[in-house]
Amino acid sequence: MTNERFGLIGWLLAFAVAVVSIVIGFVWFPALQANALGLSWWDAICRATGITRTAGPAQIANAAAAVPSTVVWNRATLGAIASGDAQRGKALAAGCAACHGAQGISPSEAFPNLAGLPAMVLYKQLEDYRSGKRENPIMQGMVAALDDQKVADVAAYFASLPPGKRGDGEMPALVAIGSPMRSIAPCSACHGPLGFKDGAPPLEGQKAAYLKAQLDAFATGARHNDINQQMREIARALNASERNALAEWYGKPQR
Amino acid sequence: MLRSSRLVLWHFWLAFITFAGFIVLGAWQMWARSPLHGGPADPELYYRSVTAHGTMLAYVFPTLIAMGFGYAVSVSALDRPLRGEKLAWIGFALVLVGALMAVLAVAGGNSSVLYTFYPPLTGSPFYYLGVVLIVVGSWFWVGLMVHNMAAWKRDHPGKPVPLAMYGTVANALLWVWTSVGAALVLLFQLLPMTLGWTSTVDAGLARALFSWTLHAIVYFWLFPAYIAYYTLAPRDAGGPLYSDRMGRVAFVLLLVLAMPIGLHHLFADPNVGTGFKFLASVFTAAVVIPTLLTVGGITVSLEIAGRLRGGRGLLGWVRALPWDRPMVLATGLSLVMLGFGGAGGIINMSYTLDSTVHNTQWITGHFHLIFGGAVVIMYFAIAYELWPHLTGHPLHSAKLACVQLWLWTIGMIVVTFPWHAVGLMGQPRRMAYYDWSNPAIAAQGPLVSLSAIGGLILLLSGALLIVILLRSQSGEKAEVGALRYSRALDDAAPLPRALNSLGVWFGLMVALTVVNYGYPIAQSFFLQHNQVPAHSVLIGK
Repeated sequence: MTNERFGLIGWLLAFAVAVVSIVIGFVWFPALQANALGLSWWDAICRATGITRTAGPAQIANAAAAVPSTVVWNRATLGAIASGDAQRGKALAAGCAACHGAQGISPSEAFPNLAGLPAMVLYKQLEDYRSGKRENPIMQGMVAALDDQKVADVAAYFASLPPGKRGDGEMPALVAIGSPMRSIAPCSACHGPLGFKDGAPPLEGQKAAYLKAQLDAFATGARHNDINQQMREIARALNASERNALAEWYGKPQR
Repeated sequence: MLRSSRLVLWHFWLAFITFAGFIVLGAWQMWARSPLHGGPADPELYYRSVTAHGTMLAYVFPTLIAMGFGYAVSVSALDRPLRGEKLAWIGFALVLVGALMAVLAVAGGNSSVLYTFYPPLTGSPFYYLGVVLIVVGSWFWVGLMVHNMAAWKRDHPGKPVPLAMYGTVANALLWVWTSVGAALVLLFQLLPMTLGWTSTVDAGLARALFSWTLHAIVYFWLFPAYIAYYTLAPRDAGGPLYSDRMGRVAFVLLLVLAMPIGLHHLFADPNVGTGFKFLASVFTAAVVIPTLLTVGGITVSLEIAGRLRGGRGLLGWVRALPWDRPMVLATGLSLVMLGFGGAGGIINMSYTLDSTVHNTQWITGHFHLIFGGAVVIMYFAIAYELWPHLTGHPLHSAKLACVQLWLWTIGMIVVTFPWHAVGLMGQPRRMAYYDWSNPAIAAQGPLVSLSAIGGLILLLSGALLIVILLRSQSGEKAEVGALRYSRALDDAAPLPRALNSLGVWFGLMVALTVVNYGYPIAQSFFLQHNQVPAHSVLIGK
């Protein structure tokens, strides 16, 4: 066994490579890129470490109006929703029954069922009515009396009700696989029955006429509270008969 | 018969049962998304299948092989009983229970999160706990390997640790550090989220921590193959190993480099600065050194053997090699696949070139060619090598074993070469189906169908492996002698102390981890914008 400084040489070599790479990666390349990106030399170096200055929407004129919704899915929002109390919500929701039914199942085709919808879905729509991001004279009037806590309570109440029956028919292609050639994602990926996404309502058993009206409103842009414009994009890409067929399928009579 | 042969045999059988069962899912997935299927498969079933295939073949199968082979090396290379065999059985039981928990959770449809977890996706806690148990079980093995080598060194002061054991312990140390990343994700991010204790998760941090594990885990899988190249293949070819020290240098370099480079999995992640990506690129490139050292050293060793067997001329030694021996054949085929896979890896490692292939089917092709091809074929050869020593029965048929190895290689090439091609055409990976009526991607259809046929060849080869192992075990008993390892030309040369121990290299690996990962992980403690809501994949939610 010899006692060469093999280990030491290994350490030194590794750190030499690291130091040279750090100089190239954090100083030299950023300095070269700074001009092309229109950044100062110092900003370019900060960018190489992952630190960026906040820039973007704040510089757009009237940025607040361009934002589709004020609801952000962060810890504070989720905490607010979790604080909702269904019992208090029940008392607050007395006025909702006329349109949405005593048990959250609407007696009319024009108004949506609310029973059993996820609290995140209900909360976001109520908040959007409150902030004016979703426009509807009746609903904006109804929510005017609610504060932050009451919105969460009402959402918790309707979420706690048993949902209406859901259908079990064969899914049409648009629901199951979308239309990839037209960049239309499958409805089912977010709205069920295959998958569900936070903030997107499960649609099976919803009122067909209501769904049709919403798809049309997204297509014209009259409704615009979809955070990434995904519903406006998709509704615009669908023709009128497809919108009808989708509304009919999701809204088919409950079994 | 090998000492502790029952222990080793149980590891290998569980590994190969897992292997044979879950490659079927892989073959089905290729079929389901190819034009041969005649319509889109149910995506829910598809992702359930992908999760099971990945979890069982990435976490369970290679871990059991590394553990079983490690125990075999410990008792044969050190030539003494395994210390702590009871603990080894406990480790095995933990892996078994963990594997069952994970696979049942996936089969129930409540954990289709893919084996890479992908937070904020949230599956059943049983799935994550199962994976934790698998990892904890493997840590028992790590402790035993380190303990057995240390004890041997105490009893043999100044003597070089046998190369096979040196490599095994290097791998154990690599694995214990490597698995920390995924363990942190599981314990501090995923389990609290799935148990409902937290509502959001830092997806960027989770990806950084997971990449800590995800790249080096491949080297953990690779190590048994490398150990077989160095310590078994030259002996079976009929010659010495060209250089024992070269092997040690290669093992040490793999240990030092494998983990700190994992950040290259985040080349497309916006929360990691470009400087760190460049750093990862440079260190990843350095892996070429141990790889080429090994390819060169083993080729030279084989050339010596070929010439000793009467091979003449520039390439005459290649023909003179005993290709009818499974270990020699597997080594040759493995090096071919390693060559192609390694060349692809050099493209992935480049920060700029990666952007053309990132998240395409090219990547799937790359890791199947390297792991499923170059590494797994050596697992087969190791099993063929060990089987007589574990069971007391000679190998049923070396000829059939060679047919199996050829089928595996051909199948893997038919599967992965088309994947590389469609990846370059832009086909994304992790898709349950493609719209084959779309003229923009129709040209990829025949290639995808071809790879699905390659999957059937792989299934045939996998079935043949099980047949050979079963028939060998039920054949007539025979005296098989002791398991011997290759002698090296430089066995007698003095060895630097640092190439007979691993502490100094373990320390360097940790230091390089801090350099490469320190800031990208630390930033998550003051940047909060990566927090996203948990998204449950539980059925009915």
